[in-house]
Amino acid sequence: MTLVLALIAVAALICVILFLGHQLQRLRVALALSDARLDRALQDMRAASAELESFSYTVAHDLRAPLRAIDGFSRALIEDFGGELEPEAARLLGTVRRNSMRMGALMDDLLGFSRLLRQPLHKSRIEPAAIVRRVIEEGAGMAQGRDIAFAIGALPPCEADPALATRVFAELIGNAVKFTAKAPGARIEIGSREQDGRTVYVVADNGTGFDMAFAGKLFGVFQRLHRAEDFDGNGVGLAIAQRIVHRHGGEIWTEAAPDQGAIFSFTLEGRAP
Amino acid sequence: MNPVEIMLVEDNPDDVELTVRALRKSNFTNPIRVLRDGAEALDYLFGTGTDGKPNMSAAPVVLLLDLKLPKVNGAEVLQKVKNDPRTRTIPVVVLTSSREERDLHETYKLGANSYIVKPVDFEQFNRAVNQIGMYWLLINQQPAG
Repeated sequence: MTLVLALIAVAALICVILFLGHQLQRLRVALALSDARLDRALQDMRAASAELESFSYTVAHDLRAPLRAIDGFSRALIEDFGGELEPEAARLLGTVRRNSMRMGALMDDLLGFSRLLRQPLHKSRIEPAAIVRRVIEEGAGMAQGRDIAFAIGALPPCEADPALATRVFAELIGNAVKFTAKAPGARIEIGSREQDGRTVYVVADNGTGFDMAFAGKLFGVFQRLHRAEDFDGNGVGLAIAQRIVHRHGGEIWTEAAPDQGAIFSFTLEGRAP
Repeated sequence: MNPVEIMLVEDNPDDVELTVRALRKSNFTNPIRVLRDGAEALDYLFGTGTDGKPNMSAAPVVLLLDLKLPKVNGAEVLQKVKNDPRTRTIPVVVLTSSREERDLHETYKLGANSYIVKPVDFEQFNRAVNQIGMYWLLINQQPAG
């Protein structure tokens, strides 16, 4: 009886082993297939990245030359024939020059942006408190003697690329400084809170804010929620901040209302799995 | 005295005109020789004169070099100039539109003396050209050839 049971058990075991072997073989085949797919995807990605690089190079070099010519020859015209130009003609030439310079600035921003996406991440332990102090000191010029009350709360250290994390704080604080320009008693608060086991850094201002209906556009490249004559800028700063945050696996979001200020919150780490 | 003092290697005629104009506006009256591609530049520097010897008397005081050139590109010209003992001491100022880090690294590795990104803004461009002229034509001292 026990012998029969033992035989059945052995037979069952053999069946299981055979089955597992078969499954293993299938898995191996699937793995090899997905390996090949992964290889192909990696190749595609490398090709796309190389293409992007050569595209940026073209933008950098080939598009700047004609722009320089437009600005240079307009300027030459003003220099050589300025005396003979009607005031209106001089004004029109000035507009040509202003726009060529603006396009130059846009191209530089676009290039800076694409370079940022290619730049490798070098993470280390960073001290956001020191970063924020430095950003405010260095940015004193942009505040142009304005009376802004900065309130810096607790900013715990974290793991991030120091240069890129600095850029995020600089963009958000610069943004807050810019959009409080018309607010009496400008106040900018930089702090943090713990949420779902992550540190959320916060930059809040009491500036001009914006309508949350347009929040989706806020982080797009060259997207602006304000008219150029109200607030200058190229609409790249927040796009850069978002890409940096995403490259760290983090998230960035905002809450605002018109004339009620804006609060930007971000994390530099992914959610715990 | 050297007949050619400023050698400008640039394929874009508009950039040539603007650069020459900027130099003249800054009161640099030094003779300028414009070469329109890398091959022409190399031929000018290393080509053989009537006596069959390399035409080294043509060596300029300063070489302004664009990077992106037809036929032979700027980096190759730079490499040849810096690898030849006869031309090694010529200061090479890379004058380019490219802000790319790898161009900057590569050209400095090849021995460029200076790397200037041509600004779109013509006033900045004028200032840059003026400073190049001031430094390389007036301030900088070179060993006697």
